[in-house]
Amino acid sequence: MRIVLIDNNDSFTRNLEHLLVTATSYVPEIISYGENGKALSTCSLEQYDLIVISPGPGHPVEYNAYNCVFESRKPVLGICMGMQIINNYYGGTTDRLPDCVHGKTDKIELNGQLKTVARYHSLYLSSIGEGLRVTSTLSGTSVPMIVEHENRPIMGLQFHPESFLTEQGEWYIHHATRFFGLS
Amino acid sequence: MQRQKLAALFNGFATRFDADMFLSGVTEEDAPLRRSANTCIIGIDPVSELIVQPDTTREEIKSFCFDSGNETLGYLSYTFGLKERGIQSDKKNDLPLGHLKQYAILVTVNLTTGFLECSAIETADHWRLQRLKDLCTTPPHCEELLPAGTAFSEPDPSMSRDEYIKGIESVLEHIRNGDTYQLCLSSAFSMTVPETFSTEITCSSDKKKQCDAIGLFMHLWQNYPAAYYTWFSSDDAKIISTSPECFLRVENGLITSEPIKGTTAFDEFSENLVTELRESPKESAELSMIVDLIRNDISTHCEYGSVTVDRHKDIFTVDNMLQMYSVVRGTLKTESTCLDLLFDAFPGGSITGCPKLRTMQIIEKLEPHSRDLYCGSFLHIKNPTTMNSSIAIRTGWFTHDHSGIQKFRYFAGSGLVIDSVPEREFEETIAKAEKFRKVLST
Repeated sequence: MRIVLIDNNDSFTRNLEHLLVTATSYVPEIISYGENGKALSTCSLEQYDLIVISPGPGHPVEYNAYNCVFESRKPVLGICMGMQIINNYYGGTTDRLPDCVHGKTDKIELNGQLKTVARYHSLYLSSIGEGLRVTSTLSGTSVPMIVEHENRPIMGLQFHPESFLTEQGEWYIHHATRFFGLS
Repeated sequence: MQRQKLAALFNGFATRFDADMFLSGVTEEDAPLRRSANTCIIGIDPVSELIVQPDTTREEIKSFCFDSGNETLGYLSYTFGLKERGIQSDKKNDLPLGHLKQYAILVTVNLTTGFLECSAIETADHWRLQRLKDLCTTPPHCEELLPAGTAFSEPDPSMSRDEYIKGIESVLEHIRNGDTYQLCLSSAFSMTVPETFSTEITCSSDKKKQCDAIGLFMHLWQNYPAAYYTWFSSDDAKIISTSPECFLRVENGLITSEPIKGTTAFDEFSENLVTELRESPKESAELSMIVDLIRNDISTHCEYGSVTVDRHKDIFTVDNMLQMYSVVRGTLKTESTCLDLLFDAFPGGSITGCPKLRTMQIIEKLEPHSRDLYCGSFLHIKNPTTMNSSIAIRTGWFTHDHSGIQKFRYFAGSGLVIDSVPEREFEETIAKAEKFRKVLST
């Protein structure tokens, strides 16, 4: 499996790289988004089986070079900002979270189970893009924590599976690759 | 060996041999909660030096440190880190971007065993070595090294209380916007050095060599133990670092980083305070973020699957403050050197915040001063797989300002997160700056 990890100038990208290797035993290639995503437009995404979009600072509207990623029809996994970029592409909105949280754990509800994950987000999906559905929320709230596309291999995680605070981080990578039909 | 005797000996190294000194200062009796850090290393008679310029490449630094086989002592400044990350800064610096030295003579002292060892290159001056031996075998008389009654001016901060608090509020707005999760904001403090206070080594009428700045350094080392004390000369600047923080330690490829986040100042120590700090959601989050950041920063040059977190939220004491820390470990990739690791992880995440690039851009806009060497790192590099480095906090230096007036400049800061209360963060910064103010201006 060939994986490309797009780094939105974040400081958790290498953690994600290590997590992807642990979970899939494949070493991802890392492309830096840089100042304006120039590297993305010159990169041939055809060669990859999975595209992972990293977390990153700011608001998803700042990251406007991602159309080629979605047009490639390749499986896409977005983490935090990555999920917000997915939602933004499909017309959803992202706003300030009333109680923003960084470096803390919380429970999410997934298939009737509670799981402990690390949260780093000031913003959240205030409305969900077309074709996306929320498959997990923050326990006791409606804050979306996982979204999936209804008929395309696209998934977003609002929390950080690569954080040392998340229990069983690899599980979420397997969860995504299962959904994509890659494992 | 008694601390006072050692201080007199180290004072002798610096005044008679113009030594640069990397002193650990902590034994178990000093601080029961403190991690072990007990080796001092002293460099005498530099044989080669590299002053890092804006156009100095990473390869040139690696070549300087690794080609000769000699050990290197020195520093890289925070400003060097700005340059490496492509962040433009037009602020004025007192010190070069970095200064690295290799020496004819190296002395190491183990504080626990009292064992002193001296190594010298073949061309070392035999007469100097003999004098050094004399100094070690007949240690100088213990005395009070800090001159009495030299009151420095009250510190002049780069940001007033109101400006600092306004800065914090602007950071909180950036956090709410998702630009940063944590940002470490600092203030610079400047004091005028009284004319009676010597920063150069002088020879008294009875041929005794002395220097008040070195006396100050030894006084601090004796009375405020911390793991990463440094006395270092760069041109005519005399640098004093009293840092408690390890940035990256690499021993035969095994990497350890010990980021500190979470501070409680106290008058009287109690176990309750320890529990309170450890259970504080705000302080825990501050530390956890930096642990994730350090994991990321070392991962670039770590074997896959080797990065672990130990002793998360452990606590030690320094300068009447509780400090919470964690230990992050990893194994250096066989194709990487400790300097590759350092360059890609630099500057240390605990003094920038997270995510690093955008956070550093915001810091550059908000702080009116250049951090210069502050928040850079002091380095002791042995070979491509062994080095030690500190985070240059609790650090200051003697230099002349543009009108030739001698100043002592030092810095302090605090990590800001969404739960930060501006007034309390300002107080934390002042608590960290207090050591220098108390010793010098009263």
